Amino acid sequence: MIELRNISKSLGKNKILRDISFSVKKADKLVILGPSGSGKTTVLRLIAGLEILDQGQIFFDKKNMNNVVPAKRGVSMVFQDLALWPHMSVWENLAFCLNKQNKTKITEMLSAVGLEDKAKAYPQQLSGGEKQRLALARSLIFNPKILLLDEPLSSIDPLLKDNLIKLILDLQKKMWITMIYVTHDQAEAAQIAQQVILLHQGKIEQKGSLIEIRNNPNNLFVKKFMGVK
Amino acid sequence: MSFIPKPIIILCAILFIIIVLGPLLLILAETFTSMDNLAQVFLLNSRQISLFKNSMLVGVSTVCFALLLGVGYGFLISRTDIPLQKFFIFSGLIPLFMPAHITAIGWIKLLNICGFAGNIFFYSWIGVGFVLGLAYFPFIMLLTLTGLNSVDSKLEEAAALIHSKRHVIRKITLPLASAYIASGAILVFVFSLSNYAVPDMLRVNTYPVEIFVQFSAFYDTAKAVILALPLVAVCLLLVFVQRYLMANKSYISLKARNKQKMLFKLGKGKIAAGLFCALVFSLSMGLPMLILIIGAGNLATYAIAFKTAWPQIRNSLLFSFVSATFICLISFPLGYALARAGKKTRLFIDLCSMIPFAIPSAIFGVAMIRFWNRPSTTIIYHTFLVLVFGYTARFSAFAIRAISANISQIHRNLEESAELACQSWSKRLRFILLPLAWPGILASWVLCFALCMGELGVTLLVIPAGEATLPIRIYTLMHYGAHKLVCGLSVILVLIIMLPILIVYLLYNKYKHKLLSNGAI
Repeated sequence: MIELRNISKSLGKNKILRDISFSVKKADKLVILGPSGSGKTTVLRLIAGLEILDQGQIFFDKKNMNNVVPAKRGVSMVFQDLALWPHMSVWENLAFCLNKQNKTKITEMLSAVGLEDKAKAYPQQLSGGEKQRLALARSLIFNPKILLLDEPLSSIDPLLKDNLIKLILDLQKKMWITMIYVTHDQAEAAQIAQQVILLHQGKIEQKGSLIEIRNNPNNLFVKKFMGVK
Repeated sequence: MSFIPKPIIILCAILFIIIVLGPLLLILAETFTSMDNLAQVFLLNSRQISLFKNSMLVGVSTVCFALLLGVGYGFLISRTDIPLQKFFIFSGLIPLFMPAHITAIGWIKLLNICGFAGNIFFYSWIGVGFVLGLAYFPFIMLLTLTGLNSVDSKLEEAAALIHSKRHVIRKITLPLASAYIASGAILVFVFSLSNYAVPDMLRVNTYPVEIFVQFSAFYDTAKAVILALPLVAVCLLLVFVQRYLMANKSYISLKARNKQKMLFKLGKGKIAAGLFCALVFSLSMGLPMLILIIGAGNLATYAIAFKTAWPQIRNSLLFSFVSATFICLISFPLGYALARAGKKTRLFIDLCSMIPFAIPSAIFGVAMIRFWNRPSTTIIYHTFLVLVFGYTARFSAFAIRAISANISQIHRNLEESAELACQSWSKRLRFILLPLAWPGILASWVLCFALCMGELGVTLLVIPAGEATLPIRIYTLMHYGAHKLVCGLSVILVLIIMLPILIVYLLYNKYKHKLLSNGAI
């Protein structure tokens, strides 16, 4: 289980996050929804350990992770720009994440995301959808406990998006991984998870299912963001 | 900061402080322990005034000449349809690697051939400014090119809807690139004030020449340091102004002519523009080299040069190779920290690495002697290690900045995704950071190798007995009047410097597309 207790983060004089608390059960899915600049990505970066907390605590299975380095947290992340290593082939991108070369595992993962015939290709030789699948495969190959996705499908067409969401959900279920998905798109959020956190200016405006939030918006911002008349 | 562990960065920072800043701090402390010395700083005698005047005249004339050549050259190759653009980029850059004193030797020989030996205009601040302007104009050309490449094309397009291209370039493009040009001018001014060899050859008494005389003839360290203080103060001030101008800006962008940028069609002026660039190349490199080749005569001169100066050639190669490698080894972690560390660490490294730019080579030489000449450090002072440290003191700032600029261009997410996937920092360094950063490291190595090969100011002062380098040999032979050998050895020196540059340039062109696509450049 992931638990965030009263976390705050500032960059210079800007308060990015203010007193955020929430939890996600093991193998559960959570969507963090909110407009640009609301602090969604910062939440993921704090969970991954890529940023240092100003205040608050982060627990994984009741263990305080505040001082644990990113590589030892068992977290993987799909970045918005995918961050595929351009000087490595598809195979090498996956192999780098494993401590020992494990051909079977890499082959299985490539076939799970449908890239078995692209093993020797370089990221710049892949299509948009293939790059997304490689990023997903790379984030799952070392069996992380937690998968963080930072608007990974923001730049692809709707048809491809549906297929990829299905793939993400299948793999998450099969691998029994806790998943936190960040997006600003309500339709995407609805496809991913029932549990949603709505973030605005670094504060949680509302938690619950999308239907609950839509039916009972807490304030004017939630009402406007959800498009409730 | 997860790719290079903090202890390694701290170790390199300590090495940098000991090797680069330690000697400078020591001579400053030694000088100011005496109140008499302190009083002399404020003593404005005619000698001080004359030195200051000469140095400023050299600095200003160098900048004027370098601006005249560099801005025009940079503009032509970046914003016009000049023919042979790629060749002119290369030919505009290589004078950067030719030691200024070799350019001076070439021009002195040319004047001798033309019957102007000892010409009073050439043997004055005008001549020094001319030679140093030719040697340093690539700095301004490079920064003009980078500045012009950095201008947002939309800003120009918005203006182009209302005004002519000529007007847009004058009112929008050049003003937006002016910080880069001014920064280049400051660098050239500082470098010209610090140069020892060219004013010495052309008999102009500037600060570095006087410092050298005070130290080598009278062994008066305090006087040498006190003499240098006004110069160091001016240079430090300018270096910090330059830092302010270039805050958050990249120093190097060698992109070929960008199709999206506004191009100025030269029409019939193409030939004139091409001739201008060819003339600049000829004056700065082609002509001096041609004169040196002619001066050397036949191949027998080169054979004799090789035979008699082989120990110096070997020393130069060995010392420069070791120094460039050592500089890159300590500059890589520091360059990484400069690009990726927290604000305070970045500021600390930034400020510390700016200081060497402002210190004349002769002062570095004096400082190295005072710092390392003690019984406990004999192993350094009496071996070539003192040269390695001297070169590190002078040139590591270049490497730190070049490596840092390269690392800044690598997207942070590429490192962060590796940080999540892999626990071993050495594996992350080997497989992610080094493959992405190697163009910057290689470029820094080549730059440092070339600078070390041509270094004269520090080498003259600290060279251990029997370890003379090629520039020292050339400098000594000049005073003995061995003209043919001087020419032959100068040609050999330039060829040795140019060889790795040529190899890197060819490799760069061959793998440019791959490097561009994988984000390494």
